[in-house]
Amino acid sequence: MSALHLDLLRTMLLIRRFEETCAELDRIGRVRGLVRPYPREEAVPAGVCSELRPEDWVVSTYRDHAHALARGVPLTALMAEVFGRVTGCCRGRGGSMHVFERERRFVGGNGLVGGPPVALGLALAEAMQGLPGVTAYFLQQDAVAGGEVSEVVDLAVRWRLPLLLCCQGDLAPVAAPSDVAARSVDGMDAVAVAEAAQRALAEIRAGGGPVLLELRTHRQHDPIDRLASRMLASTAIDEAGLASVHAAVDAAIGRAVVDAEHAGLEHAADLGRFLHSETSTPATAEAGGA
Amino acid sequence: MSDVVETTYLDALRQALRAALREDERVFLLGGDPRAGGRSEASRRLLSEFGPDRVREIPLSGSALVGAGIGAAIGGMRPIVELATVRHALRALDQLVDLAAGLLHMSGGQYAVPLVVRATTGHGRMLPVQHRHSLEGWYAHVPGLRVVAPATLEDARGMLAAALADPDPVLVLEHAGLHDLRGTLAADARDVDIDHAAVRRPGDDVTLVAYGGMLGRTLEAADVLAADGVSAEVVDLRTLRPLDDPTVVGSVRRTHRAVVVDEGWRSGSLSAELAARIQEHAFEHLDSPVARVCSTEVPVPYAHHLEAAALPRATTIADAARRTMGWRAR
Repeated sequence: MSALHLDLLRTMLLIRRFEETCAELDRIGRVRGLVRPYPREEAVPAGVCSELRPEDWVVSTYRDHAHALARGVPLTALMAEVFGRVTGCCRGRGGSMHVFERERRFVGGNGLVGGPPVALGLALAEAMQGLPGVTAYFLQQDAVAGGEVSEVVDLAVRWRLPLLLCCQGDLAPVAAPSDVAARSVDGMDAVAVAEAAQRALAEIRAGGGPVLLELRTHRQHDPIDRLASRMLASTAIDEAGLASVHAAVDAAIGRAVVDAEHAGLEHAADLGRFLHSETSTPATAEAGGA
Repeated sequence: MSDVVETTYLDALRQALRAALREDERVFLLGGDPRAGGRSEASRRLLSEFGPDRVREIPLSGSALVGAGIGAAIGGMRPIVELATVRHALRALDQLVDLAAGLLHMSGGQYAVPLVVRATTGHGRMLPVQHRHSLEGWYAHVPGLRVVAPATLEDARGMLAAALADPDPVLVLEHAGLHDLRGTLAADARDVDIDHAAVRRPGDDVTLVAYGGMLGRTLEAADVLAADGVSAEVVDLRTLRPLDDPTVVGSVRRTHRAVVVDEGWRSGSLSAELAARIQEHAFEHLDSPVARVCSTEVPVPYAHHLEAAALPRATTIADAARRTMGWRAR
C-alpha cells in the first residue's frame, strides 16, 4: 500500500512542479502560447491513472498536462512539446493544449466540444472489437450540464460501453445525466480516488457499462499536503524521504527544461508532413495550392 | 460486356453501403435518429438487414456524430457517419476541421483518422431553407480532408469503397437532387478512383467545369450549345479536394475557354478557386476570361420557381459559354 502512496505522491508533485514551471516559463517569456495550468487538484489524474492498464485509453481536456503526466507520457517529451520542439510528443505541432501520445493511448488535449464524443467512439470501438480497454475521460464538472455530455452518457449507458467518466469540480453535486452509475468521491484524497477508480474499473471491465465518478474538489485544501501528512503520520515516509522525493522531481523537471531548450526544431520544409498518412498514395494535384 | 442493371443514384448509394458492411466487419454506420429526420434515405432498410450494432441510429447532433466516428476510427473501426441534412453538417464543422482533418498533423503523425462522412447536400427539392445549402466549397477549403462528390451512378456506387480504403478522412457529398437519377450500371460495378476528374463529354471550343448536382444541367447546356455548332467539353470534378488540376487545365489548354459551374454562392466559392487555378496554370492559353455560373447570393428559397431562379440552369450556363466565344479584348 505504501508503494501506491509513494507513487501517488510522486505523480502529484510532478504535476504540481510541471505546472508551476510552465507558468514561470510563460511569465518570463521562454515559452509562448496559451498554457492552461491545471488547478491544484492533482489527486484526480494521479488517483485515476494509477489504476489504468496499458490497453486503456485516456481522453483529456485542454488542461491536459496533468493527465498526460499521470498517464506516463514521458516528462521530457511533454516539456519539449510545450516548447514546440521536434522532440515533443507531437513534434511541436500540437503544443500545450493538444498533447497526444499514441504509445500510452493518450488522445488529447481537446477543446470542450471535442472530447466527449471522441471518448464515446473509442469505447464503442473497443466494445465492438471485443477488446479489453476502458476509455477514461476527464472533464470539468461545468461541462456536464452541456447537452453533448448528457447525450454521450446516455448512449454509453444504452450500449453498456467501457467508459469511465471522471468529472471534477467544486460545485454542489449535479444530477448525473440519465441513469449512469454515479459515485461521489473526495477528489482531494488521492488514495480515495485510486480506490474508487479501482472499483469502478473492475465493474466496467466486468461488462457493467459506464461509471461516472464525481470527484469533488475544493480549493482551500491541498491534496499533496494531505497525502504527505498521512504518510508521515503512519511513518510510511520520514521528512528526509519526503525531501528526497521533492528533490528528485525538481531535478527531473530541471533536466526536462534544459533538454527542451536544447532540442531541435522541426524543419519548416516538413510543414506539410502528416497532413495525410504517409502510407497513402500521394494526392494527385494538391500542389496546385502551393 | 458484363450485365447491366437498371438502378437509381439512391439505390447505388445503398448498394455501396451494403457491400461495405458485408465485406469488412469493421465497417458500421453511425447516423441520426430517423424520427428526428436524421437518417439518410440511402441507409433505410439496412437496419433490418445488418442489425442495430452495424447500423446505429443515434439521437446525436452532427458534431457528436462526427466526434464519435473519429473516436471509433482511432480505435480501429471503419465508421461511416451519416449527416443527413446540412443542419447536421454545419454543426459538425468543428469536429471535421479541428479533429478529423487536423489530428494526424496535430499529433505529429501519431493518430490517423480513417473516417468516412456521408453528407447529403444541395438544392432542388423544395426542402426547408435551413435544411440545405451548397457548402461544398467550405469543406474543400480544409487541408487534411478529401472531399468527393458523386454525380453519376458509377460514382454513387463506387466512391464509398475508395473512401473506406483511404487511411485518412473522406467526406462524400451526395446530392439530394440526384437521388432519383435513373440509369444503368454494370451489375459488377465496384470501386472507382477518387483522385481524378473525368471528361464526361469531349469537345473543342469551350470547357465547362461542374460537379455534383450541376453536372446534369451542364451536360444539357452542352447539348444546347451543340445545336448552335459550339463543341463544349464537360469536366466533372468528382473530387473537390484535392482538385485534379491536370485534367481541368489540360482541357482548357485545348479549348482556350472555361466556364465554371458551381451550385455554391459565388463569393469565396469553389468556382473562385478553379478560376484562379486556371489562370495560374493556363493564362497564356486563354482566349477569354474564365466565366462563372453560380447560385444567386440569397438564402435559396422554398418556392419552386424562386429556387429554380436562384440556381444555375442549362440556359444560363450556355449563355455564359457563348459569351466566352464572343469575347473580344477592348
